[in-house]
Amino acid sequence: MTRSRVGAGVVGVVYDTGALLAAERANRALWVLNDEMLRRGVRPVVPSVVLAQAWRGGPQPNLSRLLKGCVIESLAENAAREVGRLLAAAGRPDIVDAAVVVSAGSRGDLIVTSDPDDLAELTAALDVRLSLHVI
Amino acid sequence: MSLARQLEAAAQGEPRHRVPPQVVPCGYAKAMAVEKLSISLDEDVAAAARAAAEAEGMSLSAWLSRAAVEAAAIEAGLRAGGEFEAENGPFSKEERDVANEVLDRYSVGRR
Repeated sequence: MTRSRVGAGVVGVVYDTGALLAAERANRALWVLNDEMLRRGVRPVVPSVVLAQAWRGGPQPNLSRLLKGCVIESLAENAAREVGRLLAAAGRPDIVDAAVVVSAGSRGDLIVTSDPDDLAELTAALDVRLSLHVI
Repeated sequence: MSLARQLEAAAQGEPRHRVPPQVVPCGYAKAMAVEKLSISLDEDVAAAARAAAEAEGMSLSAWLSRAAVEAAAIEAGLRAGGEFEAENGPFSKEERDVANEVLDRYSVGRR
């Protein structure tokens, strides 16, 4: 079980699929948030499965731009098992949402999302407290 | 954050900009050619970088390489933001203030 590292390191940000789609739609609130977090030295994390859900083969120029400053996080075996465990605990089917929650939960990161309801159910099933910011 | 600023921060004992420890960025596992460089650092900066590397169980080369990767990615991300502003209009002070209020609320970028 991956535990929150709140307090142990610098608080970062994880994007969900909705955040990436907002970036492609040129959502200014998302873009200015991204810009200001980079100025703080924080590179937002994008789980690779989130990218898979958002990427439709391109061209998606705004999304491609956004990703230049992001960390694309691969899903390693331990994290994959944690995602599965979380889905079972929450009774939810969405691997992508669960990967976002597991990623953020491993470091205590803020999740930037357009769909807080689905993520809230998963965060409740994970025994760490996570913050969601709705874009 | 520029590499120079990052090294200054290390010299002053500040947390370097954030590199999620559990994150293994895609592509990092690839074998890459290594180029040997001779670089000059202020003594204090070199000592701080060496201490930071030791604290993380890394070689100085690996620590500096990671710092350079992070700094380059941040600069690339900021350039991308600049391209967005060029096409969609610059961010206003109010927009930046709102974004920073959000980041402050969640202590993003802070320990």
